Amino acid sequence: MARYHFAATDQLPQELLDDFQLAQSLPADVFKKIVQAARQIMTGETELSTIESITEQLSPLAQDAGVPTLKLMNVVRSLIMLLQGSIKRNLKLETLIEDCETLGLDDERVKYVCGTWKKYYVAISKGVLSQTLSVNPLKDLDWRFGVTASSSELSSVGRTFLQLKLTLDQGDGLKDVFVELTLNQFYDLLHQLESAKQTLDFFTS
Amino acid sequence: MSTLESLQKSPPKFVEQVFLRVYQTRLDEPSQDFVDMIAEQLQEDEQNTRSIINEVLKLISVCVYDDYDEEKLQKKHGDVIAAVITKHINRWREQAVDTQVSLPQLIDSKWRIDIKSASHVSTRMAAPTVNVQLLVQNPSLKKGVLGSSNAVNFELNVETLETMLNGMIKIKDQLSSIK
Repeated sequence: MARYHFAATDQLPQELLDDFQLAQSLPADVFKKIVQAARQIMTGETELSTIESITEQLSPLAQDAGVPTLKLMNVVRSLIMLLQGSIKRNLKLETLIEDCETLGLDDERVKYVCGTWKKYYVAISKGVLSQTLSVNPLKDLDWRFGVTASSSELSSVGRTFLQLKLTLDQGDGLKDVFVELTLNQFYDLLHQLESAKQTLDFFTS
Repeated sequence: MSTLESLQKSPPKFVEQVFLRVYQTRLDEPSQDFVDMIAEQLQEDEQNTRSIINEVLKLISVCVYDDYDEEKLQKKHGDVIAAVITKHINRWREQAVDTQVSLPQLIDSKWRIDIKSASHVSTRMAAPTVNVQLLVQNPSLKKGVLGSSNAVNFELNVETLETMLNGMIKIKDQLSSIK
């Protein structure tokens, strides 16, 4: 049986172990704030892309603890690795506690990490799952509808049309796709999507 | 003398055939076979036949575009032509609406539900997603050639599908309020 359940290995990189030793030596309130910062990144409350904002948040904490900001950031990263690994392997709470203890955290800190884990479990797993690969996800939908009053072939028409603009994320940037629907097609599409929704609901409930 | 006179004396079935064919191919040049066939039936030369075809198309276009008066048509072009136009005018109007200029048009939609059961972030998960494919017909770019069609694929998770449906239900409400 592996020593560390969250990574399924006996041997962790030395940096990771050092990070947790540092985490153990931090003042308790700084440690709590760091755990919260890691949690916010995982649930998507803090955007990972803006490293500056993370540094900004951490630098006052670093001053309090008398530790360089960069080192503190590494601790955050290691905490994220711990939580991500636990999500990935669907660890039970007891197993996570065991892992924290093996990493050298004291009872109070283990309790705090696990408390946060328990409290935000749903949000954290949602945040992690949203990073799963998806193909051309739909980003935005704009629509407008109108009535054709006249055309080159008919002096008076009076047909309702509906135009959709779908914004898709194709991996190499966003792409807009335009589609025009007649009324019947619109009702048909709506019906199709509603039945898809019913099936989805069946699987989620 | 009206160019259509020779048509007026032809059998109604032939007149109907000519009118239908002319409107069907209204966006293209009349084919040589078609011109030859009419020329033979009416015993006209090719040039006259082409001007008859043009005249027919003009007459149909005017009748389709504006409201037309059957009595006037009867007086001007005779019973046979008036009857053919009256018989087909509604269908021609529908065709005109169907082929009017527009953005790329939706032809068909398909969907599929997948359940993601594992990924690089989690070895065991069950996240249902729906894949939607819209088949879209682009407008024709070349005369006489149908525009290409392409498929638009995208993926929705539960939340985005819900948002999209809510948007569409809003549209539906709006539509039913103006009807």
